[in-house]
Amino acid sequence: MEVDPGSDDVEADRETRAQKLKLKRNVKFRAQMRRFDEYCGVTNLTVDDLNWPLISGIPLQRQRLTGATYYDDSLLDQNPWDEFSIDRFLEITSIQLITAGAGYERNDEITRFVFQRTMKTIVTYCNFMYDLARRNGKVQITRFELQDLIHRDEFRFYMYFRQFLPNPDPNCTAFSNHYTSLLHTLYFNIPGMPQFWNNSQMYNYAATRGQRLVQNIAAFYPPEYFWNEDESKYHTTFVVPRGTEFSKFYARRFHEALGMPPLENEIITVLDWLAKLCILEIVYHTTIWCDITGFGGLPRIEHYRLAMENVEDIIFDLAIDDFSISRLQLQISPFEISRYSPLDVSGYYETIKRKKDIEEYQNRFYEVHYSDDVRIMNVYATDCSRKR
Amino acid sequence: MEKVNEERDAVFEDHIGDRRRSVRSLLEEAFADEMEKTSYDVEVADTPQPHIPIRFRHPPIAGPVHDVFGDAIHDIFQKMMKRGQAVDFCHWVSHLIATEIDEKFSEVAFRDVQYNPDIYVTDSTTEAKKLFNDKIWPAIDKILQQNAETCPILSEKWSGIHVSGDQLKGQRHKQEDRFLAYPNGQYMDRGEDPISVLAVFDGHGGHECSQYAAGHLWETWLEVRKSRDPSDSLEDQLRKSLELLDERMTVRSVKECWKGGSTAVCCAIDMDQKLMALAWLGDSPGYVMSNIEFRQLTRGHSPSDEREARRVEEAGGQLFVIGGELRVNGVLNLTRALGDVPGRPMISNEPETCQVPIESSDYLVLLACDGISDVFNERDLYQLVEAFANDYPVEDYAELSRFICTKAIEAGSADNVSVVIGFLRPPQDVWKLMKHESDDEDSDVTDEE
Repeated sequence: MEVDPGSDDVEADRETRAQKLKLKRNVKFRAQMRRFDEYCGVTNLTVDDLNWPLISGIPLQRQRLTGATYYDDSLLDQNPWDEFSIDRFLEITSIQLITAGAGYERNDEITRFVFQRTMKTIVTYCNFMYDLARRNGKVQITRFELQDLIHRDEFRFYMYFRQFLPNPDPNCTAFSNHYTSLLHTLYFNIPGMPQFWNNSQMYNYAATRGQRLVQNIAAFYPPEYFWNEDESKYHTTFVVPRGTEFSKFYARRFHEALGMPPLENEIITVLDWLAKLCILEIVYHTTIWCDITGFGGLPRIEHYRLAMENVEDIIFDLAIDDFSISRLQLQISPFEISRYSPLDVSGYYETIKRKKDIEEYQNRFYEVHYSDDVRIMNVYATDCSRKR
Repeated sequence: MEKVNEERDAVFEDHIGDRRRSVRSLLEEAFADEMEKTSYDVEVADTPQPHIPIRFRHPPIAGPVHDVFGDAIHDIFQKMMKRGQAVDFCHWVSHLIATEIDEKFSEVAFRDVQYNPDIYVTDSTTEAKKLFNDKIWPAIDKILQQNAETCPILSEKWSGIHVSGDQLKGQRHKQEDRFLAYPNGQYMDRGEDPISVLAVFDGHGGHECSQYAAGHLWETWLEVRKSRDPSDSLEDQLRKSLELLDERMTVRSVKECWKGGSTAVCCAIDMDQKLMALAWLGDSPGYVMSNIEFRQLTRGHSPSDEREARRVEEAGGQLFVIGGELRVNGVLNLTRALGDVPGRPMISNEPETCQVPIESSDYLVLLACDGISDVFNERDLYQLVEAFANDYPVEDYAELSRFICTKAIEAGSADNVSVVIGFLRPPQDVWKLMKHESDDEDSDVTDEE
């Protein structure tokens, strides 16, 4: 029997390649985990907050996180890869807060508070979607789970399509972005969506919120703000750091700060949008809380804390246990032993006895008056009985 | 009524603490609120509760039929513990209630469904779970309406070693620890197996695995005991039952996508043979207290252990520091655990075991979670037992574990804390040992003797 002398070499090459790939994946995972740990100091997230199994030791993100960036990321803000700081996200949060009407100047305490709340909320959404994905037999969060989440709030669902599906024309199927094309298909699979798209009532919901926040800006922001108003600030988000163009570099950092949830291509942009909504909602909620409780002026950090005390998820009303821990201050009660003292439970036994007696009487009553006993029936039914 | 009073006031003179009391008085104490409500002819409206918003969570995935009974027993056990009852009574009554519900209220006899690796049926298990949850008081109500002649349970006498178990929540927002303390088979399935089983499970990444372990260890233990080979030592039996438990847990973990896992430290005590076996995974410690000291019998399975670190790396795992601690793949500070299925084989599910003879100088065995060992060393534990024995009478022996938990939280333990204690000698002996010599003359123990 002839043996191919090269087969061992091929096998060895394959093994070497597999080992190299494994090594590469290990190095990548390690770097990502280190960055997550570095960001934890600010985001306040830990591995325990994440529902996806990082313990497997391999990056769970199998697909590309996002599409291409249309410019050189490395030039952005002159930030080389290794020198990215999570403070940049705090800076972006403060810009978002300023544009939302929270205050004209950056306030570090408010920024940090809002950023931590936002990150925890987004991680909760990822957990929600990941659990759903696993129940659906998937290994990563897809647009279907995302839809299930956003569908919990009709207005957000409406916004979602407006935001990510710029042209819902069924004839226009040429989408450059893969995610948008998938969304397009999804859009036409949901009955009644075209009517939903054109629902003008939806604008009222947003208008009331917008008006209240604009009142803050008009009343408390200095005139210079309006002169120097920069349109790009309104578009600044975690993955659009300059407010003008999407950054793959920042998207990856944002993904790492969230604990690397396994996402379908482009979903990170939706999470970024949800984060922006979350910041807006926190500002709006605090402003309304201040109106109700009669605090004048722009909300301060204590107002944010008090306003958000009983709120868990601000958008979809999911349960977030962590936020309730601040309310439940750990109270160490001193050690005491409660001694047994005999209880008076005679009422219970008397009630039971009375119930039993009534039951017995009831049975007897039925037996006497409603029995099918033949003898009794004969008394009324037969002629001879009547005669007697 | 007189008969009821007689039954309630019956005392087992040869016991101490709650074991002296009758079943009826214990049940009445545990279900006092329900009894009070029943004593009114008209349903009493509950006091208005403050509005608590119910936020959305995913409904739990239905469990398999073979796990319903064990899950129900553990749920009832947890509820009974919250009512402040002693751990051994809670085990006993939880089995009693679950059996009563299964017999009287359920259409399917869940207690007879055996685990089969090839069958995974989840039909009607969600409804069954609700049934077991709703019928706790009706089941007890039925028992209390009877007397000891018609219901022999009411005159049952406790047996087995004395145990104490409790847990407290630290700064964590969830209690993921679970524990169990069966003095013998009477508390597992009302059987006659004389072996005591104690365990502490410290869950991570969710309470599912620790809860599963605490709810089903008695089943796997009894199964192993029934099918044991004469050559099987106590240690082998304990290891086999943990392996079987892990096998069952793995199936459930995969089906229900559980993320976390649990440490385990289990102890089986054979007082007849004077033998004690321990099996453990993870860093939850097990100690034995002799007349002079506490000594740790377990070895922590953590990445800082050289042997464990080598094993993890050979299995393809990476060890690096995250959050100031060496962790497997930057996530877990343990190298062995029950569950943690995605982390295998790096996170091993193989328990380490040991078997030791019970010496005459051994007084008690203490199992704990790392929340205790983080703040107390062996010497501290000895001093705590000593302090408790000097401040409280021996009748309060069942409160010793709660005392240690409270002290651990006071000492700054950030984690949840759980302690289980099994007395290898009668609690009176421990008290006698711990009482200061100067107090011996007027001690409770001396008085009793």
